[in-house]
Amino acid sequence: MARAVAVAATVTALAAPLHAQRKVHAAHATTSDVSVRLFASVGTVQVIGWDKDSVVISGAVPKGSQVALGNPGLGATRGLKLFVESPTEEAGRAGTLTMRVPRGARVWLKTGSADVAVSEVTGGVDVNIVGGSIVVRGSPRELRAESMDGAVTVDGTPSWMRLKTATGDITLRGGEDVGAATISGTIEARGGQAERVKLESTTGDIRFALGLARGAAVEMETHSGAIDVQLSRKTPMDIDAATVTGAIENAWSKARPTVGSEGRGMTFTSQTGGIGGRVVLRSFKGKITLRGT
Amino acid sequence: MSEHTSSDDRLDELTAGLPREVAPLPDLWPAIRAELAPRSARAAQWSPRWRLVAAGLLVAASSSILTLFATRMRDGVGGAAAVATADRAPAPPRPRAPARLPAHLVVAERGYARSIDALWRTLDERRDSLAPSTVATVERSLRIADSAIAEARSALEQDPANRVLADLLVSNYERKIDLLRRATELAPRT
Amino acid sequence: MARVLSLVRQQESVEAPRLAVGDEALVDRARKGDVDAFERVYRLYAGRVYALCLRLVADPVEARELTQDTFVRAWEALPRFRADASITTWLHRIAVNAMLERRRGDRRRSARVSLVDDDEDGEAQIAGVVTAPDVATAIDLERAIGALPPGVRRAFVLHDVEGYTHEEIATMTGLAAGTLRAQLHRARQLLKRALSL
Repeated sequence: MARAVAVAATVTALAAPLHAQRKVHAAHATTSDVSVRLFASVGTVQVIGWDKDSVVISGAVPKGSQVALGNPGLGATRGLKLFVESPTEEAGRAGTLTMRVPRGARVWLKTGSADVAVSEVTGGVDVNIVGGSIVVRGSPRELRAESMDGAVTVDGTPSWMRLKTATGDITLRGGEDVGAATISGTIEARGGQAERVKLESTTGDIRFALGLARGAAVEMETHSGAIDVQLSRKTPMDIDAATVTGAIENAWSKARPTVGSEGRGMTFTSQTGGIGGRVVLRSFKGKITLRGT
Repeated sequence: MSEHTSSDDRLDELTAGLPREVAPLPDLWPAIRAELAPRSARAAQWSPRWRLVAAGLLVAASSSILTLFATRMRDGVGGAAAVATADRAPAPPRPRAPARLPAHLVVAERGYARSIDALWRTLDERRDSLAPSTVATVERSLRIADSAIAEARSALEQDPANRVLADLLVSNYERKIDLLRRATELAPRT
Repeated sequence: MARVLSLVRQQESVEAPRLAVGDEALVDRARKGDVDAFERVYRLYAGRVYALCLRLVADPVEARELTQDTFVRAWEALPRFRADASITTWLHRIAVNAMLERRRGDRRRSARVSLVDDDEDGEAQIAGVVTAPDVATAIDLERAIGALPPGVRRAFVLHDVEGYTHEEIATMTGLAAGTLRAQLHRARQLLKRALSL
C-alpha cells in the first residue's frame, strides 16, 4: 500500500566534490508495485529492493550530464521515468547510481556499458545493456536480462527468466521457467532446480547441472558448442539427444549412443516413461556429453 | 452435450482474461511496406508469382544492404577500414533455388529474409548512434550466425528430410533475427 | 522455441469494434493509396491480428508471416472493404483465409498435417506439454491452447477467444456445424484436463 506521506523529490546538483562530477539525489513516494524506467549512461548502476514504498535514487554523474529524475508529485506514483545521459560515453564510465525501489516494483533499466547489480527485487526486472555486466541477486518474479558482450549472472531462482547475450557468458541457478540464449558466450546452469528450461547457443558451450522438478521439460541446442549435461541417475527421465556431425558420449547410463544412418552424427535415446521429465539435446557439430550424479 | 459446470465457468473466466492483443516482434511494418503495390496498380498484377519475384529482389536487396551497412559502419569506425576486405561480414546465406530444401523451409526462409531485411534497414538508419565497439560486437556475432546458417543450410540441402537439421537451421535464423532486433533496440530512434 | 512476447491487455470488449469516426477516414485514405494511413491501420490492428494468428498456429514465426500476409492482402483488398463492416472481423477473415490456404498447401505437400482428424496427436501433445498446475493462469491457458490439435484449436480460438458465432466461423472456415460443435467440445475437454479444472 502506498504511503500517505509524500516524499519530496529533489534533484540536487552540489558543488563538484568529485573530479568533474556532480551528485544527484531524488526521492519519490510510490506504490509498492511502482513501475520504474531508468535510462542511464553511467558506469555502475545498483538497484536494491527495500521495504519502503518509495524510490530513492542517488549517485554521482559527470558534469554536463542531462539529468531528469522526475518531479515531485502530490501522492504515491505508480510509474516513474528517470533519465541520466552523460555528455560522452567515456565520461559516463565514472558515473555511479544507486536506486532503491519497493521490493515489488517493476524495474526497467537500459544502459550502455555499465556494471549493473540488482538485488532483493521480487517484482519484475528488465535490464538491457551493451557491455559491462549484469548481476541479479534474489528472485524476481520475472526477469529479462539482455546484454551484447557483457556477462549475465543470476544468483537466485526467478519464476520466469529470459537471458540473452551475443558474446557474454551466462550463469544461472535455475527457476521455474528458464530461457537463455547466446551466440558465442557460454551458458552455465548449476546449483538449483528447474521445471522448464531452454538453453541455446550458436558456438558457445552449454554446461547444465540443475536438479529437475517432476515432469520437467529441458531443451538444449547448439550449432558448434559443447553440451555437457549432468543428470541424476535416480530420477527416471526421457532423453533424446541428436547431433548432425558431432559426437555423443553417455556416462549417465550404460546405453550406447548410435551412429547416424550415413555414418555421420549420433543419436541417443532413453525412454523411461518420462515421470522425471524430458530432456532434448540438439547439436550440429558440438559434442554432447551426458553425465550422471 | 455435457452440462455447463463450474470448471466450464473457470475456463470461460480464464479465456475472457486472455490478452486481446499481442505485439508482433520484431515490428512487421517495414517488411509489409516493402510488399505493398502502388494503389494505382491493379491487384491482379500483384500475383503470387510477382510476389515471389519481389521476395527474391528483397533478398538480394537485403544482401546489398548488409554489405553496404557493414561497409558504412566500418568507414565510420576509422582505421578499421584498412582491414575491411579481409574482415568484411559475409553476405547472409540468402535463400537460393528452393529445389533441395523442404517446402515449408523455403517459405520460412522467405519470411526470415523479409524480417532480416527490415531490421537491417532500421539498423542502418540508426547506425550513427551506436558505439563502434557495439558495432564490432554485432558484426562479429552476425558473422558467426551467418556462418552457422550457411553450414546448416548446406547440410540440409544434402539431407532435406533431416528434421534435426531443419530445426537447427530455424533456430540459427531465429537467433540472428533476435540479435538484429536487439541491436536495433540498442540504437535509439533519432 | 517459446518466444518472449509483450502482451498488451486491451480494455475494449470482446465484440469486434467497428471503425471509429477517425478510423473511417483513415481507411478511406488508405483505400486511395495513402501508405501512411495504412501504416496507421497496421499500428492499430497488428496486435489483434497477430494475437489471432499466434493462437491459431501456435508458432511465433508462422504467426509473424501470417500477420505480414494478412496486411499485404488487406492492402490489396481495401478497395472492396465496406465502410459499415467491422475492420477487425474483416482482417481476421483475411488472416483465417491465409492460414487455411497455407494449410491446404502444406497438406498437398505433406500428409503429416491434418486439419480435422488430429485429436489423438493432440491428446498426447497436451499431456506432455501441460503439467497440471495447481493454479490455472492465463499463461498456462495460452500454453494449453497452443498444444491443442490444429483443427480443435482453430475452433476454440475463433469461438471462445475471439467470440465469433458458429455461423461466422462456418463462413470463415467452411466447417460444418456438427464438426465445429464437436471440435469445440473436444477443445474444452482437453483444456479443462490440461488445466486440472
